[in-house]
Amino acid sequence: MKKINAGSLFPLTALILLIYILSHQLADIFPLGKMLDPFIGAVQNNEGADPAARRMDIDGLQLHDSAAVYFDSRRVPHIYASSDNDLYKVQGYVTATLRLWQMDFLSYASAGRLSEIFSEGFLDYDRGQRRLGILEAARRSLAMIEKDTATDRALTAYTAGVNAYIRGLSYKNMPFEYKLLDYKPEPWTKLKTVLVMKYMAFTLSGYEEDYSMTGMMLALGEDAFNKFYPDIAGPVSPMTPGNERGSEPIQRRIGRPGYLDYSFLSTRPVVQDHTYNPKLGSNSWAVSGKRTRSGHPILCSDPHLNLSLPAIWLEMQLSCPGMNVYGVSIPGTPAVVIGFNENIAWGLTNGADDARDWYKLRISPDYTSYLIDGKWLKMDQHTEVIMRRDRKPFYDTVYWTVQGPVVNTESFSQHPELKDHALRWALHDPSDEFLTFMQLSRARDYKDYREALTHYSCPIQNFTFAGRDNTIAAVHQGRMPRKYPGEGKFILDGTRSDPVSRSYIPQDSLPAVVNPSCNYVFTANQPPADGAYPYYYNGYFSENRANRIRQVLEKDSLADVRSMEALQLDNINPFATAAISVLVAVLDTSRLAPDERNAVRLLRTWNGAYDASEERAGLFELWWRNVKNTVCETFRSYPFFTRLPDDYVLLDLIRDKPEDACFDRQATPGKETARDIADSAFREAWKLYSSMKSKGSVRWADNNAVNILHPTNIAALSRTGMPSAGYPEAVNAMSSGWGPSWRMVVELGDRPNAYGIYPGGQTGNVGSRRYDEFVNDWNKGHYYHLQFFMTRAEAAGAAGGRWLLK
Amino acid sequence: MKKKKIYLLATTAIAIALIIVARTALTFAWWSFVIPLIGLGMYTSWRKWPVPAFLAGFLAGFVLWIVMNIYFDNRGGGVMLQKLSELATVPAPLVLLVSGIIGGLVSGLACHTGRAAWAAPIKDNHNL
Repeated sequence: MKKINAGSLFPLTALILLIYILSHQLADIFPLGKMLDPFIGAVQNNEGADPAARRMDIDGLQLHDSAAVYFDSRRVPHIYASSDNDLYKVQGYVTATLRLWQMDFLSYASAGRLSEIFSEGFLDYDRGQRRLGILEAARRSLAMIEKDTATDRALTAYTAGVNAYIRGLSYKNMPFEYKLLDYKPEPWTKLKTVLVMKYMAFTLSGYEEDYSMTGMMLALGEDAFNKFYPDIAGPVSPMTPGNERGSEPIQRRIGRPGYLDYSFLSTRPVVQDHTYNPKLGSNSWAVSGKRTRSGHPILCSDPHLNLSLPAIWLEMQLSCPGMNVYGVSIPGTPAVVIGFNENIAWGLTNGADDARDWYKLRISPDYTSYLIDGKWLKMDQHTEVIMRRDRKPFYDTVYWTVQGPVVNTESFSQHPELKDHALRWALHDPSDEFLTFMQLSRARDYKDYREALTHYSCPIQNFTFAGRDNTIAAVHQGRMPRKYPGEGKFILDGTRSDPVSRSYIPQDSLPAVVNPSCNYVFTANQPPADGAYPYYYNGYFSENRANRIRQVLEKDSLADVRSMEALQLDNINPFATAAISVLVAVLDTSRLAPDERNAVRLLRTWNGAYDASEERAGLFELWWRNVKNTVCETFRSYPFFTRLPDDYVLLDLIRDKPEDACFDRQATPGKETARDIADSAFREAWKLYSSMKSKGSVRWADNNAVNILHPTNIAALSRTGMPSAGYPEAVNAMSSGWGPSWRMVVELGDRPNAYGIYPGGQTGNVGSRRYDEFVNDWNKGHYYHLQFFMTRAEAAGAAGGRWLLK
Repeated sequence: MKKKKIYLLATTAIAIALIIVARTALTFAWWSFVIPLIGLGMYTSWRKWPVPAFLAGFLAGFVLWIVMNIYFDNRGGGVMLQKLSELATVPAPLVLLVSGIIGGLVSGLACHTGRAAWAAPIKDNHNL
């Protein structure tokens, strides 16, 4: 009689244990068994699984009518549907096919839910996001959107499309990152779409320096504060009214607010926030046909964002009755954000306004009430549940006042200097930006464009416009609060209600320009309005790129696509030449050695272009860095110090007030002047530069490595260390981690003639050779001709892969 | 001796066939192929095949994991193995070797468990 042998229990136990170990993430190593299984593991993510090259029939989307997607040779989907609803559903489906993990991850990062994916290290990040109120803001915006039928329908359709794709996934065909981090995609929701949009607002409008400037005002006094930290520095080419010379914005003297005293400062040093980059800028301009070779208008746009793989943008063409638009969309959101149709083209640059204000509160010790106008008001509070992987959920109480959330409290404080301060941020206000982009996609003329913009509020953006009828325009669009000069630059008094109830600048009074006499408009994060503008505004504006763009457009009376591409790739930083002429003038060349004198001569002949093979750029950079390292030493001793005055402010001081006390070194008995600073800075720079040159290369590209990182920062999924031309203050604003994220040049006419490129690839699949397909061409400054199809038959004739969806 | 080799080869071949069928025809958990392999182990015991079950299973899993990983990787453009090796900061052949060992261990243990479970009085029962 045969029987089951008890002796098999040991191997059975060992087998079960082995399978368990191989199925789970251990010590941060991905689950080896699943991942290395050839039938469902990592190798199944190879491009062989890329469906964009195939001809397929796809069911299950429950469309009203069948829809078609044609992929061109670069895997750009051209979507044809018979209604808006079907179109956004298919857009959701196709986007998820190409970028599901990326958009899903972004929604987790935005909401403060990374602890659900990573068991360690992200609780503080998540608490920070919840306390900043991003998730709450998304909920509020969604509640508002659900009242608007058009947007709600689009979001519902998009969500259904994404979920149709998710339903068809198994472990085998799941994006690689889910396998790597060992979790599964959750169903998509409208809230996740709003969270992705809020994430953009979060990165573009998050910069502020209220606390630091408060300290500077108190420490320096009004006169010195206005001298060192003016609202506007250097030569400026404002966006309105068409950039004629002599129309620079008025420099307003900022007074010290009456309430501001030393009780507004904490003894703790300020914690520098590296989440936000004030230089996240962009360029966009439009040239009327009166100044182009073809007689048709040209629009250019290149938003500068953090560079990531998969790229932030996804290229596509969307077509349904009444709409035929081509452009880039943000994965996770419907419509296209920057693009063109047969009649119009539009571009975007960041408004760079000061969108965040902090209010110092008086709060009861138990956080149940706060004082306003002499009355104690009950504090709103709710519990945020932060789910955690392999652990119990974490409960955090988040407090809200009439101004906004109290981000840093006794129990948790990422910025102790801002403890018990409320944050007011335009991002918190309910808004529906989707409607703007949906309407822009269909817009036929200037009137439609202005109508579409009225729905747009945050983050404030400059929308450039060109119409086939040769109308060109730019609008600084968003909810701009009405402010008294200096308002919002410093910490506000939270015990009073008057700075809380704000009104906004009316839509028809926002800075705007249409068909200026110069026949071009441009925006590059410069101050938007000229001296005639009646309202006060402030922000973190940049001057150099705008000045350079104006300089080139002024000369180019016969612009064409090639000359516009050349301008987008222009590496000249106007500040460099301005600075060299000032520095060389104060330099005591008689004290220099012959090789140093020769170097100065070479610098004087440099045009300020940060080209790949340029060797002088590095020397200037070192020189200017050394100058900056030695000026304003007293400022650096303040605990609230975060940044030096603007480069142009320092340069003006070197030229006009070389004896100023800001040049005096603290550690020396004598009194240094700008000349001493320039001399020693140059000598040190030359010494370092010579040693760099003897050891390796001083070509600019070799010292300007660009990194395009995967959201997990894993090197194997990123592209790092690419030598590049360009400079943050040049039109080609290339830097180590951010840069031109979508270069687009569109010439309108009988048929749009468009070119573009972004650093990435259409697919987010790391197992595809197309994952980073465009990166090398992008870094070399190449462009692709964008295949805009006028009809579906055209698309069908030219396409590679074709999907028919039902 | 020769007979034993033939049995070993036959068992390995059957194991490979069973794994392929289980892994391609079914969409259960990644380890679901252990069930037919346990059955195979029992079968060898029942039929009194003079075969080291663990070795046969191990060989099947080891070879299949390596060959199929190479096959799917090449067919799909050959990116993922390279990425895995960069992720783990080890050479690609080592990734393949580890995959082979994993496939081999699970398959071998499954066959051995089956053979041990079916307690047939086999004269040439081996130590595995």
